[in-house]
Amino acid sequence: MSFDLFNRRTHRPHRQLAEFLADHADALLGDSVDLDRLIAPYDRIAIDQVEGFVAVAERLSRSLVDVKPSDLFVEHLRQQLLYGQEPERRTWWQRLRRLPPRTQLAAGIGGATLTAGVVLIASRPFVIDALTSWRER
Amino acid sequence: MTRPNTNGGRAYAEAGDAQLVEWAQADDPTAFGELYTRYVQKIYNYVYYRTGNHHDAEDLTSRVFFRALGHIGHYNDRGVPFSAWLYRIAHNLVANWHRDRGRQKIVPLDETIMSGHGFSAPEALAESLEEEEMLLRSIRELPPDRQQLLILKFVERLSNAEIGAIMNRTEGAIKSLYHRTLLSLRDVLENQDGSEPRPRRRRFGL
Repeated sequence: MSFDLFNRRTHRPHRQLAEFLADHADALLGDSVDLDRLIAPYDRIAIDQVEGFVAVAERLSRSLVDVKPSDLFVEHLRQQLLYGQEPERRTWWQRLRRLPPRTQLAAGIGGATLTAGVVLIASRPFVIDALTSWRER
Repeated sequence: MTRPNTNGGRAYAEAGDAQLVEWAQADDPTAFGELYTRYVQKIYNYVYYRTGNHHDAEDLTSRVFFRALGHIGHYNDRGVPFSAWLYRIAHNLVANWHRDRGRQKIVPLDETIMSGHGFSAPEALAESLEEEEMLLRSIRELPPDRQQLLILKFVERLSNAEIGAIMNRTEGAIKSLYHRTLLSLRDVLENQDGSEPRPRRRRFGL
């Protein structure tokens, strides 16, 4: 794509465009966006040259929304900070429980296989002894 | 949530951050409580978007404030406001979190964000979710400083000067970084729009 306000070779964005995009982002976070009014002070930029950037910025503005922590968490942490102790770090078991189900399953199968292998190796002399005595009978 | 008002003649709710920090440094827990009230949601938001799930967001938010409480005696406002100092703590803890998780940077997307849309028609909702998912996936591919910039700009709604204080850059550098971020996102999204649709899996984590 050709874009004369941006020099891809030196990777130095045009200052006017950067300034305009900053203004546009501030306007997006404000009450309303009037593109014609926003772009008016910039004599080297045309609306059709900024449409792609504006569309991305609008998508960002719609998608990156505020997320609220639970009131219970906020109050509990406040109590801990002001009157209590720092919570202990999670144990390996708690960390394991927070892994995705597939990873938990893989860890379970891996652990069971390893345990079975160790048990088999450890019990091998007893198995051989039992087989030998059975054959001798 | 309860907001402290006054204690011993101190008007906490009306005090500026610098004043509250001074009181907190003199072992006034109510002052730190007021700072906590002001910033807990902002820090939680920031951490949530960098980790992608509420469990880790709560865990890391707790650590941010415990670290701030433990180190507030050493905090010295040399052009770095308290809020910027907090964000830097959060940034470092999130970086450690990603490092500890190693290659598993993609984490399941909690439903909170996706359920926040007011679409009644299932088709419109599905289309919107797919578009949003594509955007979030693209953001996740960006370098950490660009992810940080987008969160501070669009979620925390900070000014370029405030973002500059947090990221230790000039306002001009922030504008330039924002421009480059939009440019790379635009190119990525254009390529994705023109390519085969990817399998619909809700995975995210900035």
